[in-house]
Amino acid sequence: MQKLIRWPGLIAFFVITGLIAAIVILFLDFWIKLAAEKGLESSTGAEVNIAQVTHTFSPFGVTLTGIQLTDPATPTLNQVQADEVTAQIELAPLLLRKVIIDDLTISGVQFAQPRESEGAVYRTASAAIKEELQEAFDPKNLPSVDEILAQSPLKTTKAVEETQAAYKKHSEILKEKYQQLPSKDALENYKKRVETITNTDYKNLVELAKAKEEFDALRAEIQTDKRKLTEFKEAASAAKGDMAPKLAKLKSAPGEDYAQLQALIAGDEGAIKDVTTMVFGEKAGEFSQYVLGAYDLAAPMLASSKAEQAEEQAYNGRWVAFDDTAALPDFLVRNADISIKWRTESVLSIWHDITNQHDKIGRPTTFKVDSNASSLWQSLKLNGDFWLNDTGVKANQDWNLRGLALADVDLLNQEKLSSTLLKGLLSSSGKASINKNVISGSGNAALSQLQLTATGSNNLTNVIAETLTGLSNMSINSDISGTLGDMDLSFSSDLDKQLASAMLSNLSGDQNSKLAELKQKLNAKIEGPLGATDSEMSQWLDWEKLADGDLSSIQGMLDSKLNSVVDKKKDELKDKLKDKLKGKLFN
Amino acid sequence: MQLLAKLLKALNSDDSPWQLAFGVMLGMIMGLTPFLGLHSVLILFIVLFLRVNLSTFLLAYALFSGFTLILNPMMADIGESLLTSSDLNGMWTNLYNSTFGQLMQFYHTLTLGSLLFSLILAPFILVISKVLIVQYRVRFMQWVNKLKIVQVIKSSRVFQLYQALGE
Repeated sequence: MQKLIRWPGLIAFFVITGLIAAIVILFLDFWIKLAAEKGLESSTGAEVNIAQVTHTFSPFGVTLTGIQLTDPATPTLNQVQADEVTAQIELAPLLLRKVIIDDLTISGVQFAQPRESEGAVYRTASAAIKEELQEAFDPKNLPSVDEILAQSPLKTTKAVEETQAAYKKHSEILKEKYQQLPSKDALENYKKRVETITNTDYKNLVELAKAKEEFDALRAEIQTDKRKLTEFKEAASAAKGDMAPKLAKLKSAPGEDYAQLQALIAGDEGAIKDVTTMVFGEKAGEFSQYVLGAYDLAAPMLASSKAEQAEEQAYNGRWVAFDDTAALPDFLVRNADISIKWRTESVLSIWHDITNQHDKIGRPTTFKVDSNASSLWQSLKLNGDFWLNDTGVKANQDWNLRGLALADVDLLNQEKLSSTLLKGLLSSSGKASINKNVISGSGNAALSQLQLTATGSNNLTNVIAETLTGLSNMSINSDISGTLGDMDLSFSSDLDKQLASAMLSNLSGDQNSKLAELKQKLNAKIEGPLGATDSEMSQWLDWEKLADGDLSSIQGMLDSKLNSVVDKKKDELKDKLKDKLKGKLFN
Repeated sequence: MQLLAKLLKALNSDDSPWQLAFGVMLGMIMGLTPFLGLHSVLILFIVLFLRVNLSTFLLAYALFSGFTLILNPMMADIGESLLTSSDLNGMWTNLYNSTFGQLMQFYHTLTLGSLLFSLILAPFILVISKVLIVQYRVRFMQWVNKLKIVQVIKSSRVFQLYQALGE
């Protein structure tokens, strides 16, 4: 046995393995930092910095300090940054490559903070905020009236087309049916034939039967013509019913077009429409990042889940994945306290069951914020949950913010227009949900006790600035749409209408003459079709009256006279027959 | 020169042919399989704890590591066909969900394929190396030792150093 065993070899084995373990432990903080940075970078597509990593063995825990995730859309900003992340990790599941964190604490989370130096971007960010809005306030090169008419989808043009199409259709039908109507001579002929039949004195039954036969043939002819008259009348009524609203629409269309297009003469319609987004959109978008921040967390988790599913291909073999029958998911944070810093306040959010495999744990990730009165707001409540699986994300969230005090907020700072919110109170509530990665939702932000200051540099922006300065209350509605990781926010308010009306009361002489030209050209568009259609309509009405008269004369002629004559003759013949029978029987 | 000195020292040593042959066999397994893995720790333990000849182990490791350049695709294919076999899926799934399975990294095609390939090859390499070592010692050792080149190597500082270390 002694010949087989080499005791110094055993010592050497432990020395070698001990040395390897010592090197791993010595550089463990470095490996964790490297792994965390690379992992997060592959998720976000931009540079990630971690200032320091420390660890403890009992209980096994890791603390990351100074975490910064570059915003791929704006590399000078951090998408998210945190002062400290502390995680207590279960060791046994790590052997099965499962990261189970019992307690996670993230403090000092901030969004959209400036970086010390621009971060590297590895993947192109999704479409940034529309640059064209920057140019929207320039009123030069206003289009001519003809260009406006050519480029705008006019109600007048549409109404003319619709009226003409309807007129053509009905006109053809009515003309065709009018041609088939019985002539005056034909109607006179019917009258004479009916009189002949009714005035004849029939001597016997044979003559009466012959007259009846003749009458039935005449009745069939009259019925055919009556049907033609009825059909014509119905077609005329249908044409009238169809044409009347179309003509009314045609008459009102130039007025409606004028009301819509005058904004184009007054200034840039697009600019007016987008003022809410332009002035308040950036700050509202920033605010939304706070309330909808949970989805920013969920998006990379989903991405990493999908990335893990992809089989790794390599020259030197590949890793084959088998069904994970273990009850634990690959990644799970049982409890997490995430503290988000906003100005001087810190908002604590409480999370449970953060994972990317909710089907395994059978419950969703839940999060909530319940912050009572602070120096900045009266109350803030936020509740939400999300469930990730192979088909995507299913999530719900609602928020309710009351009395957020705003002060000295730079809303817009551009060459042509700048605006600052000096003071105001913001209340906001809303709901958002995600189903199969498609986001939908809406919110409302009510601004009260507003004090705004704004400065413009031309006619258009001066009017906008004046309107903004006069605002004391306003309500902004927001629509949330898009997909996870590429959220779209749109804003609307009555500010746009207020601005359009303010613009119209500040028109120059040139703009006024353009408006007159616009009105005249719009009216000219309907003159032709309206005149022609009106005269045709009068003709249809005349025809309808004629058909009405003919129809009533035919109906009267047939129904009353002929039937009574036949009955009378029948009775006379019956009496004669009775008399003859009586004579034969009693004589 | 260094490798040759190692080999000569091992062959001319008093170690039994089995000790040398086991060194070759274990070096072959270590050389053909990926370095990182539980199997490497196990081989290292056997080599150091049992009286396996270290020189032949290191030489075989270096030699067979070179062969992987040619053999890797074939060994990865073996692992691929085994891991994707529907008949074995149940067994692999159970192993995948065990700590031992995760530590073994069996679900890597090259690790499984090369380990299996080298284990099948192991008894043949063991017997062939033992026979060759015995034949060398009986038929060629004296003749080789008389060669000029071998005498040069034996008189070199490297060989002297190995000799001293061995004693």
